[in-house]
Amino acid sequence: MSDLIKKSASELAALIAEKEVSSREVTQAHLDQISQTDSLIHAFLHVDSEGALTQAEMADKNQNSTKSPLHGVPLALKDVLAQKGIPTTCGSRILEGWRPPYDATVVTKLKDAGVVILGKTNMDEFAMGSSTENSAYGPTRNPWDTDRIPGGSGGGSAAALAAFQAPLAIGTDTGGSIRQPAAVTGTVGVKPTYGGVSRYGLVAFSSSLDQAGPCARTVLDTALLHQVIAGHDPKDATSINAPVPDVVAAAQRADVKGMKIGVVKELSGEGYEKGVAERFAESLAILESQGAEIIEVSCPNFTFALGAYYLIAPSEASSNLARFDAMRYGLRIGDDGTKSAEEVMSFTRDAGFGDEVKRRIILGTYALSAGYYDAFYGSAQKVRTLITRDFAAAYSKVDVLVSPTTPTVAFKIGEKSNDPVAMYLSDVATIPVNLAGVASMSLPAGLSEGLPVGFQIIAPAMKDDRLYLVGGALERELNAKWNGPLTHQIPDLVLR
Amino acid sequence: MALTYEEVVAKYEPSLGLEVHVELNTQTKMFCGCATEFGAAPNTQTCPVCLGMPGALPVVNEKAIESTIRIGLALNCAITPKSRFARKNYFYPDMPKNFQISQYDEPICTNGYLDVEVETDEGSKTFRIEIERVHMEEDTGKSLHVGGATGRIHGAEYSLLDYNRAGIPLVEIVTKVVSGTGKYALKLRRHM
Repeated sequence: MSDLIKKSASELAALIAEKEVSSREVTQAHLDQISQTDSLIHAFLHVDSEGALTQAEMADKNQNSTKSPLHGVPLALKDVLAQKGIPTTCGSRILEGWRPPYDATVVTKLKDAGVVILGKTNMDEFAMGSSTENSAYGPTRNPWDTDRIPGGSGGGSAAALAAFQAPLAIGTDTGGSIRQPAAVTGTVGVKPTYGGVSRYGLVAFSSSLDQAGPCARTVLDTALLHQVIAGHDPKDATSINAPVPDVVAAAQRADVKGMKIGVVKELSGEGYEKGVAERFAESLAILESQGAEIIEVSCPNFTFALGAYYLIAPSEASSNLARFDAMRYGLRIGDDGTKSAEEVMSFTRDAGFGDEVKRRIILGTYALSAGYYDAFYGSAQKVRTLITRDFAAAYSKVDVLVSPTTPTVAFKIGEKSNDPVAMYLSDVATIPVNLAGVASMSLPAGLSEGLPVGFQIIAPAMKDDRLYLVGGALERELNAKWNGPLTHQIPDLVLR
Repeated sequence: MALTYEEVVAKYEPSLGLEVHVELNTQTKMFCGCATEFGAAPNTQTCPVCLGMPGALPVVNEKAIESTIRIGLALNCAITPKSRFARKNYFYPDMPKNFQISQYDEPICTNGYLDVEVETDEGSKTFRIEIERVHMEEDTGKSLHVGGATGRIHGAEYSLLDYNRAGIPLVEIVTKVVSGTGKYALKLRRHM
């Protein structure tokens, strides 16, 4: 194993900038790690070795003409983002064989910044799930314990970081799909403010909730990636036309002195494991010792968030996923010259979508149907307004809110796959954030019985920099306590 | 007993409302930068947005909104300060996303009128046509169903699809019912 792969993205970028090492060497080291470990972990659905090495060589050539802080550093891209010419499946059979004719704006920004894209990472089909078990291409394993899930839907991106296959990754977060995998793999993930990062080229699941964001092993790396991908995009009408908060400066300052930190009363107690609650309490004590004031706040409507989410997200999905009809791209079943277009659509959707996707399409179609719209989708949108008001009231008293990211540590593969509601509860603490469109980070808070626990920070919309002030401070103190980042405690993979 | 056509016409006065579709002559489509030139070779004026490719997003054409507002002003409508697009969900191959971006409960223009003078049997007469709403939507692609008896998709041997028209801005003008106009509907529409 090359020692390059254990380095952070900012360390690698510095080495590349100083010509101590080439981007090609760094990229090759990560490709080697992928080829050695991914038969076990299965973080990737597609590895673009040739393309990555070409990008790396280009980065080496352009070394002198760039100011990008991540120039030449490799990255793993969640398979929900379109990359020109590279298979993009969203973890679904229905998109088998589709190679997008265009780049997502996030991908364009990464390429412009000289970031090297290693390949596409595994995910729950169309980002619907909390374990990556809903991928049509088989589950991803958690490098901390390969019998356990790496979270979802972005389990591939999180596992790639924890398996040292990539120092950076892109995730997307509709109800927790960046933060929950970060929590259970001991990595860092940020869901930026809704509209902070362009959604152009992100295959839509729930358009009013979806948000792409940065994932890495350190808070600073996450900030550097955040800075690269954020900003206004004329191709996304919901993207925010305002300066991006200086998240890198915030991560470097890492200071909570005088900050008011609110603990959300509703995101604790029953259902939260003892080890999770303990690590959370320890993190709070650290922040207090760093000069923050800890205040308990109540957000009473958060208890309705899960219910509202499971009406809004499936409703939007039922419409967004209508385009997968075998007519223009992807899978086509039953086209033998005797079937009607309608039959081919129906056969293809039956064979191409997995159970969870079908469950949500049916639920969403029902909730949107004539006569039910107001009762279901309409009511859920009202709950959403109430949750947004809870956040506004809380932020009149505190600068950020905090909670455990997930109620439990990583569960075993197969443990919850037959119990959708138990699975949905994995996201109970992350979903309110998406409903209100605010910004949030998960970072490691320590271990419970050998498995990572996540600490969630929630900042008001457009105040993403506060995540990094708090996250940076907590990470510094915890790393001092652990003699290095938590990811250095990941057991060596036992390759089978 | 059922009435004959002649009896129906003699007994009732037909009163009609019109729904007039106006294709705008913008340079580019409703939600993307594709050209709108008529008669181009099939599927040459398309992009990921108007083909409904996964991940693509619509961005509204400012000129099209402006034209719709002008139409609304010409029709003495109230112009809403806040408007909203809605998805009309149905499956049909000429519509790449399987929903049409249209307007439902918050159209751009409402409650207008147009005074139209037409020649009637009793000489020149002015009708006030009340306008219920003027809204925007995207046009669908063009489909040609080959084989089969009806020219419809059912029973066709195969279908040809041209997405050049998909996403061209369409304005829909909806009138209220105008009584006594049945006979002159065509003339009224021409005046509009």
